[in-house]
Amino acid sequence: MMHRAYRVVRLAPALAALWAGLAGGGRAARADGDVVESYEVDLPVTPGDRLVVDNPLGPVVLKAWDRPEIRILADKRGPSHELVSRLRVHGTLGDGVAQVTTRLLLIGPQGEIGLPMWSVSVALEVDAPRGMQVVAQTFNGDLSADGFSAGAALVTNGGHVQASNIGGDVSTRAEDGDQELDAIRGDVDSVGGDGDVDLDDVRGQRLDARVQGGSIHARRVQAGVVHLSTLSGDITFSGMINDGGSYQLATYSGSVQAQVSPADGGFTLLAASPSPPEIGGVLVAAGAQGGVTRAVYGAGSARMEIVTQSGTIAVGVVTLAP
Amino acid sequence: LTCTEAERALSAEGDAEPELAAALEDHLATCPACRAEREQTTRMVAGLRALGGRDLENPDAAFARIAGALDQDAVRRRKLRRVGFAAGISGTLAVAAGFLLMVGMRRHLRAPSLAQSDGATPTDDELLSQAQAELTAADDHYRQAIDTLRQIADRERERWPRALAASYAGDLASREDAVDRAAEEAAAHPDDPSRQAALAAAYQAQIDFLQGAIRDGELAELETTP
Repeated sequence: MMHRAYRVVRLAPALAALWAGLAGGGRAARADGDVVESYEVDLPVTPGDRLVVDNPLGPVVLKAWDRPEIRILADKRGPSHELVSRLRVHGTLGDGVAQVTTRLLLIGPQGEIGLPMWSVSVALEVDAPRGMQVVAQTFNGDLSADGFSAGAALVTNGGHVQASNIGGDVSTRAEDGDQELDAIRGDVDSVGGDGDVDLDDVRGQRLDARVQGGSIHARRVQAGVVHLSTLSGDITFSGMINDGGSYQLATYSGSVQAQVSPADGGFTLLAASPSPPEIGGVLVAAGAQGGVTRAVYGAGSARMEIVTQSGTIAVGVVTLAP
Repeated sequence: LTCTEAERALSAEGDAEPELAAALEDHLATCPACRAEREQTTRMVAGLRALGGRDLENPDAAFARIAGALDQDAVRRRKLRRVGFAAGISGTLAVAAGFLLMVGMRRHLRAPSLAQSDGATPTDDELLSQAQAELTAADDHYRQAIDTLRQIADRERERWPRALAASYAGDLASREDAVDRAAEEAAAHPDDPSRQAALAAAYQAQIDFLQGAIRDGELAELETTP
């Protein structure tokens, strides 16, 4: 069993402009043959500031709290004490931005570098004021943010992304990993390479998700503009159709299922697929022309376009009880 | 082998298993681009050997001397783009694309050992080799994504409305130019994180553009329906 010890550092505001190099003095434990050293830093910040975290050496967990300070917990791991002692966590504070970065100090003249290496890692967990806008990136590490009220931007190359309970606009990008967004109150822009995008309980003006190889599942969505597209994967969508809204669901190779609750103005459905789409509920099919099926619900105020080159399309309408 | 696989095999040439070496030769027999790559690599290795070890500690200077000796700019740009982009992936890091370049060069001088003794501290070379491998893999991932999207878009655009297809061609050319310019900037200033980040952004923008074009092409059929 690993015993973890923390070195706790508290910085007075006057000293908080720069803290750097949590590189020694922490107590260590061994886990799975690796040495693990843990450090903790508390830093007073202004809740309206921005938090920028750049950790190419491992995962990042961001959690909101209601205290006017950020707490950084860093787990540094490597095959030897000597190497772990060269893992650095730097921070700067100024111009409304609190920035946290990780680096490895090489022995040679190159100095510190911030590159992914599988021999070493730094796992960062940061508690920060709820009102901070958070921006974080990793290389192959997972990223998560929970509870912030001023938006989040999360980018990883080879890790997974999780964002939950976020107020404000959220943008995410994962080139090779799944993305999960839950309870978002703001616009969403999610881009993926290989990996699924799972969206639940999203309310904003605009939801845009596009991936190259993966499925998109969006549930409990309320947005006036929804664009979901994937090259290879399925799309499922369930949510409200706002009056005058625009809803586009497009997959090049996959199927689309949509379950929608239209507002009073109704909507017009246009669907194109190799086989005739399945249209359920009280949606009235209005005919097909040139491979495009058109159906109308109510006054047809909003417009929903669904297309797949090789899969099937199924659309159902759920009317809410008065 | 694909060109990407062949390129990897080239970087380990001399240490490759016989089956891989044979497959590489088969590929080179049919691929002029990869043959040119090998010729340039051979010349670069010769240049590095002529430099000796001291300049390797200053990768910018080393590269400048080698690049000056090469007359095929495209090959140079392609190598630098990969290095610069890989560095750019890590965002605001003041990474020394030069470090990576140095690692890449050393790969040709002697095969690095990625393995390490149990509990032993890896050397700088081993750590940098790890980083190089990680970044190269990521870079390959991006470039393969772009290649796949390009192939689909090129195939599908025959079905697109004429205006969309024409717009696609024009925009694609300008975006590729933007990537090339960003690559040149990154190559010229490997220690400037903003230029490295700009190159990464250019690649991502190209992916976004291609994805968007394919989606718009799919939806175009519906757009004309009242």
